[in-house]
Amino acid sequence: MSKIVAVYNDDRKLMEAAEQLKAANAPVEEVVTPFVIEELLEVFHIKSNIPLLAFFYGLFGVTSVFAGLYYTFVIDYPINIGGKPNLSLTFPVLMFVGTVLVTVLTTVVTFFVQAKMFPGKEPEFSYPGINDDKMVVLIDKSDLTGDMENKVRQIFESTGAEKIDEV
Amino acid sequence: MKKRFEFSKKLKTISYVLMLIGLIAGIMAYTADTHRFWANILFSNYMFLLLALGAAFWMSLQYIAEAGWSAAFKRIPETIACYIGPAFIFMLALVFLGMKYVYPWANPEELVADFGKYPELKEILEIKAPYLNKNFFIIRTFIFFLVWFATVGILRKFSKKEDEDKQGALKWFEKSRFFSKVYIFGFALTFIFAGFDYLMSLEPYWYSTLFSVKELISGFFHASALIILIVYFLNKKGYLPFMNSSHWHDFSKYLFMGSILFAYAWYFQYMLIWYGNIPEEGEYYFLRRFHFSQFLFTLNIVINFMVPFLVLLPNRLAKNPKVLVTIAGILLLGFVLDVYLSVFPPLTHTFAGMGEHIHPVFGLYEIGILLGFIGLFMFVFFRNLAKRKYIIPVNHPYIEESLLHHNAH
Repeated sequence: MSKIVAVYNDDRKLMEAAEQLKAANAPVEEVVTPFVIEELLEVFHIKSNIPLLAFFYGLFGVTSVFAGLYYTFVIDYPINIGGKPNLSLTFPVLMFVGTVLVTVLTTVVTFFVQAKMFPGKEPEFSYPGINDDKMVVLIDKSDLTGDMENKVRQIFESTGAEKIDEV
Repeated sequence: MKKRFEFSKKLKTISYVLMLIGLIAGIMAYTADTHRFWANILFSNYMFLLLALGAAFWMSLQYIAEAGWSAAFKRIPETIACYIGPAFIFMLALVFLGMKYVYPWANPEELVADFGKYPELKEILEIKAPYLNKNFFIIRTFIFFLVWFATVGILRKFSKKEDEDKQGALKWFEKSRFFSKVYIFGFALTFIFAGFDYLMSLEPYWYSTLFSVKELISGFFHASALIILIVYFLNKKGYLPFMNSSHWHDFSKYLFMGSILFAYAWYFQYMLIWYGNIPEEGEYYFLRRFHFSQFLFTLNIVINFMVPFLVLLPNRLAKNPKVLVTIAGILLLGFVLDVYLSVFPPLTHTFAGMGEHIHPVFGLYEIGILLGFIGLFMFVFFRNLAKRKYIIPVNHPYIEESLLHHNAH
């Protein structure tokens, strides 16, 4: 019984609660939602570095695919295809496709590393309905100091949480 | 918040002055060099026709995607599409009066003589005669414009009805949604042939099945740039006060996407022809790169792809309306260049005093006539915009969503 769990079934109510929690400076540990609510990141001032990383992965992808093609077609095995130059204008097709592949895979891996997820990991937290349509706000009791717990509970109640529970 | 657009005296004067410049330049060009005059009419008129069609396509896309963010300024693409009317008049003039000065197949004796080195060309023209002949060309022009008038006209009519009819607004929206699909199909089918006719048949010995697709994509892409410019202008004038960074961001996503699409279309045509290496196909690029201007040829892809792609990549720049408008302006110059590279290289052969060696011509005639068409476009656009009762649609189902549009990040 170390965590307070508030269950919502409406994202607008959840957003209201999130704004009030942020205003009250409550230490929210985790919010679990069945779909992406990008406004949540804004409310909690969470900035993801994945877009920037993805850009650099893209740069890496384009150079590495070009280097690979260049090595194969120009240095290692220069073959005469219809009299065309070995450094061919068809490279961009492969570079484009290869860049997308490299960027997507590395970005997904980065996401998993940042979220500390891997196949076979034990769930950190589970609650009935969390995998369905319920939105859950999670607060660790040990982070709460002084009057904060009452305040948090009041916010949950006033914003219309479906259920306030402890796990 | 001003509800109705007011066509101010200042704007009117500007458009009249521009039209006057165009008229003077046109008369001067006509007396000096008839070939060049008609080439310019085709060049300028085709550009604005493509922008008008592209803007209508943009609007239809918003309808069929049920996009909410764009509802509040859907009046702008809708009104840009009005230019189809004047475009019809100029195309008719071109078809009836200027055809033999521009299209080699319409006047084989005179024009093909300039390419006299290649007698096979006459044979090619004879083979293509069932399609490329004067009568069928005129009929096709009527068919194209009939389809465009009908489909765009219906969309505009429904939009007007939607403004008047408070109870039945949703019904008109649903109907517009359906006719947007009709427009997109009709536009795609007719424009494929319109592109073949108006631009590709300038070089009747050459063909590319991808040509019209590239033009279509270019029209859609550059129409978005034009819409951004006009929205920015109206926003500065206080007509669209709701614009926020989310709207600008979504606009810049359009330009970003369009730049990639344009580069793709440009590349697939060029790469396939380069790889196929068949002389009669390569002719098109050979003429542009080695006889006309390698610099302009490269500049085209730099302006239309590299600049918007690299500048709009960072999030902060993409949301900045000033940056966005600068890019949109550059892109419209890129559009001029793109169409210029389609129209002028094959025709420079025939301009007076050019002889065998061709190089880019872009003189006072071109600038003057282009300014004239800009003035005409401004006049048509603002006059039609002022006719509408509300510059921001009132009964559109997505209007609230559009006014309060907000993207996270």
